[in-house]
Amino acid sequence: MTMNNPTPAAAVPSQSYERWISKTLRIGVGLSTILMVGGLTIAALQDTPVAVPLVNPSLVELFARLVAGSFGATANAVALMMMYTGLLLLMLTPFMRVTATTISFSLLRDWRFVSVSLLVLAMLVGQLVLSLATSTPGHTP
Amino acid sequence: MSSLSLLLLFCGGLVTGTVGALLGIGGGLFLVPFLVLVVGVPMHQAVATSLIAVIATSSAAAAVNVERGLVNVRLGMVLEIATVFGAIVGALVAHGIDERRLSKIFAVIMLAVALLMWYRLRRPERAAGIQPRGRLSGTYFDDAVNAVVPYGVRRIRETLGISLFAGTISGLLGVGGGIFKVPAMHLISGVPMKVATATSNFMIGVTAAASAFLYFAHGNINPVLSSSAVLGVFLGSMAGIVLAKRIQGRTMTILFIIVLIVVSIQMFTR
Repeated sequence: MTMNNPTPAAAVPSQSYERWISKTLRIGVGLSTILMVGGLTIAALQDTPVAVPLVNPSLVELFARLVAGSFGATANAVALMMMYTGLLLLMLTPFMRVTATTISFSLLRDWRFVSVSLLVLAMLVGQLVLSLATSTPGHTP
Repeated sequence: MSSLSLLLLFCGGLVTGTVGALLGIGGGLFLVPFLVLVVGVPMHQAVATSLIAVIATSSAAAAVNVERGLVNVRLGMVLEIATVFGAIVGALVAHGIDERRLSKIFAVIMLAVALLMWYRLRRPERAAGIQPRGRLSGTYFDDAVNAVVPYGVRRIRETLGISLFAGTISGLLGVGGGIFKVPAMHLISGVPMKVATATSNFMIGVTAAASAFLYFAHGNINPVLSSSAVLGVFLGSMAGIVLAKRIQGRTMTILFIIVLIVVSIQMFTR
């Protein structure tokens, strides 16, 4: 079954809310890639191999250090900070995508799907809170 | 970690990402065995790294597919209720399972995927067209027929159940789970294959994010290892998508099914 003369609403590509969701994803992936590439480049350019901490900071500690900018000024510290930030940004991109979807559905006044999106968002935030609460430093290989 | 190690991780990610995209099953299924068997990374860290790679590839692909109108956003959000819940449960269960047992579970799932791929190769999937009706129905532009195709969605409960299983496997083993969700959406719910694949890809990033933080919280993410491997998988997946259009791979798929079985045996006996 096909429609050769679709109505504008059915001509699916690039409805405004879809463009917004797409943009959110592009920004998240783009920024995190730049940060990870930057961190790895700095690590690779050092004379000595990059020193990975024997114990990873806990999630709470990591967030606190990123916000305070207290990672240190050595090339090793800057490289690690950029990689951690890139990874966290990437992990937060789906959160931003679900938030963008929720806002899009509210603008469309599609309340049933606003509820569905909010439920997904609540589960994501719930596991993030659980992760922060149970966060422990871990040993790196 | 030396520059050579970084390069090895990046190249490993590149190869696993390319192969995963060529076969349409994502990079995780090959990245985890590469990290465990070749690099010697503990299983939980390999799973965590794979989850981040899944987020990267899914988000990049979804950005394009959403704009093209191939993703059924409403269907994706409904199924995400099940996959996200499953992923959280999977990650919590994974931390109570020791290395060896987790490897064995991974091996069994690899074998199941190999059998599924074999089945799909022998019997091309055809789903009957469903009349577009209800809030989940949609339309997409099909290049092959140069027209907008409307479609409906049926039997959502069964697909929700399979999505719950796929989410649990994702949280437990760091794979996307599309290999289970795509056939469910297509064969059970009657969603066209292109839409099912794009919608599954759209969902797996959120599913992976639902468990990635739990792995992070347990200290299972090494920033250097993860960044190198994730960037490799990301670029490899992009290359794989381009290559997949040129390579009609029945022979290649059979070859990789054999590789999957061999690696699954190695993971089982390690």
